Amino acid sequence: MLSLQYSRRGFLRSSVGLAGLTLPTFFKAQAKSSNGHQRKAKSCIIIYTWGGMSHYESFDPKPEAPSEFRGEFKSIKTTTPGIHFCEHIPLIAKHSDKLAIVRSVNHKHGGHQQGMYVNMTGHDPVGAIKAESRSNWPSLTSMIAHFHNSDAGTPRAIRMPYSMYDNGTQMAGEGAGWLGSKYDPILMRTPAGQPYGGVSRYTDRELNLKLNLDKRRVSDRRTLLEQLDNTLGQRRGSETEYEKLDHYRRMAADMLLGSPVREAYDLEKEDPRIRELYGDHMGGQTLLLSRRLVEAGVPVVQALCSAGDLAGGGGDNWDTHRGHFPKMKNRLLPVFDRAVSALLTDLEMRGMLDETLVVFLTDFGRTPKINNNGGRDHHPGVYSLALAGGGIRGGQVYGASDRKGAEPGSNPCSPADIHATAFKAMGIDPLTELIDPLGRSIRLCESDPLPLF
Amino acid sequence: MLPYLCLILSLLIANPLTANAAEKPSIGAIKKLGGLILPWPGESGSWEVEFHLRGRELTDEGLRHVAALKNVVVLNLRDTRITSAGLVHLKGLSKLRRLHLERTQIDDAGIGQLAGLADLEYLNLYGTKITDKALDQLTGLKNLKQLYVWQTKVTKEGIEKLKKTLPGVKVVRGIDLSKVVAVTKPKPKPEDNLKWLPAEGKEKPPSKSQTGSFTIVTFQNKSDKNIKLYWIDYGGARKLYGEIAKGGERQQNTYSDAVWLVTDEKDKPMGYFVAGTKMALAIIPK
Repeated sequence: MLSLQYSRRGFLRSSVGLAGLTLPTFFKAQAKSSNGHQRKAKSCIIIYTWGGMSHYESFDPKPEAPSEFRGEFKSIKTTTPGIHFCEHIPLIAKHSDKLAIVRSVNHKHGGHQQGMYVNMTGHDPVGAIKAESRSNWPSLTSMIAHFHNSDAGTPRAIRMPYSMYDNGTQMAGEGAGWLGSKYDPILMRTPAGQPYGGVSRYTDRELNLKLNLDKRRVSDRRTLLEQLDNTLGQRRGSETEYEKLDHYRRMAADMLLGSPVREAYDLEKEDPRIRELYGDHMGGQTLLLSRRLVEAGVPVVQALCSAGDLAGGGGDNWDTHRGHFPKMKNRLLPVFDRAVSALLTDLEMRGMLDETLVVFLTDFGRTPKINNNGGRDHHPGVYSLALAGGGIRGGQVYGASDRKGAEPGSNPCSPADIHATAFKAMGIDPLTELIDPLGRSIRLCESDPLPLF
Repeated sequence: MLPYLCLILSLLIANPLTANAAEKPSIGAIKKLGGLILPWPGESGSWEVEFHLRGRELTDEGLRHVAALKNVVVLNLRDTRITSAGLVHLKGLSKLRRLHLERTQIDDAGIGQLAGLADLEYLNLYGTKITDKALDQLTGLKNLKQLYVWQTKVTKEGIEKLKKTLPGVKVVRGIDLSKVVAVTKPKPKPEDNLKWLPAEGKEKPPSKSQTGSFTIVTFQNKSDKNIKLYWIDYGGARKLYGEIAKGGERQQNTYSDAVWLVTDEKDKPMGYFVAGTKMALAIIPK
């Protein structure tokens, strides 16, 4: 049975995979909706919980498991009969009718970099990977950006509010890799909300579009360009850097020339009650900004829902090796619960949810057994991811973990399966072939979409 | 000559944009108004038309060009300047499946024009002036599946009534914002005063900032000139954060052990502050 893990394709092809016979038929039936056409999502918001969010204390509680696995928290009912979440995400539980939870995701990488890479790119890392390398696989954000053109002057992809770092090292897998700088998501700092605790400042040193959208400054286009020159000038030299510079310069100029994005970035223009709904925290305000950017025509936005640097698990990130329960209860889950529930409420009442795909990703789950420091360690053996909106049928759980939450119990699947599902929702054929810089033809994704539509 | 002629002819026939020459001027006019027009996938001669991004100046008059297209499947008029009077132009768009009218000036008076849009599946009216009377005019839309009425005067009763004729429609009323109380953030209270280290003084600040914990420093410019505020970064380089006018104030997020340099407008150093762990006031003296 072990061989069934990881590859859902393998599973479908194996003799045990009886479901494999019925799935293609299922897809055919689903391909056409009423009036014979299939709607596709126009935009995508990727919510990434950096550090590895515990599946037990979120979407896959194990109330029946022995206490050393179960942990301290209870499970609660959701809006969907039969689906239970952790008690500390009560607001998200009210939106279970919009969520498709996948409880059987697994991969084989126990390190943050590798786990994050496979979740962001849908591909296993090969050898030593580096953040700036153009041989990396493009991130899901960049791949979607590749297929979804935006209005002139509107960035194709934005990520907020930090980059992912592990003890000062920037992670590979957030950029466009071999797709080229044109598809690199633009990094923006969320301008409001109480910041995450922990070290998150490394991004200051990064080569990025620092939108210092001070009211006075934004009115002066030259200032921003000068600022960009100062940031980038020191690094100029190689042709690649120059190309980047050019890309960001053009973007900056466009954005200041009246793109709706500029207005979207100004959170002061939002109804204070809506801001309140999301919570006065960088997590909440980042998701609010995500909605505003999508509304302004940005095809894909990636929101990091935690502090940017893990730095030994000290700050507000999901890498809870120590003091897991108090940290989850007091710092992490309240922000996540409020922000995510607000986003789903907001997208729904504006009539945007059916055209906006929301994808939840994280490095891996946490170990079944609670360690001596009251923490849970890295566990890629099984964990939960989720999707909502964009044609995804809510109120369902796909796959399951075993009784202890240690291994997949049914329908094991990989991050690539989640990517394939996201591609399908975005109207992109996962089997599309792209040409890499070496002229090789490469498939976007070696997986089939999950039957979540 | 003949081969060229054949080529041109074949191009003319093959290109869907020229297939219907009658629509060409309308397409041009829509683009000119900032509208985005895209062929609807899988159905030749069908269009998706959007004005909500760069075409927000669209008025009732401009809708004339959309009406000329006939096979419009999706129309997005969010945030445009259209009114109820303009909806007469939508009357003939019988292929319309998705219609965005949210955040416009339309009211009950225009909704009757939509009564004949039999294919309509999605109708977004949030943030408009409509009331339950608008819903009464939608009962003929047998294919309607999604209706959005957040931030309108539509009531629960009105929705129940509509559902009697259209049981399959999902009506989204959203949350009542009047029940959400926005908490105004109390201003961070400075618990400490940072020491002013004059540029010419004996006590020198560290040459660069160190990493530390998050805090907020309120800089008050009590000097008689406008000043510039620089952060001395981890490598010892100056980084301009802003200017504070004479008598002005700036609240700055920072970290403990960060070094801040105050200069005059000509970048001549006046003095330094070093942030501590507590929220603090940093007064730039006369």
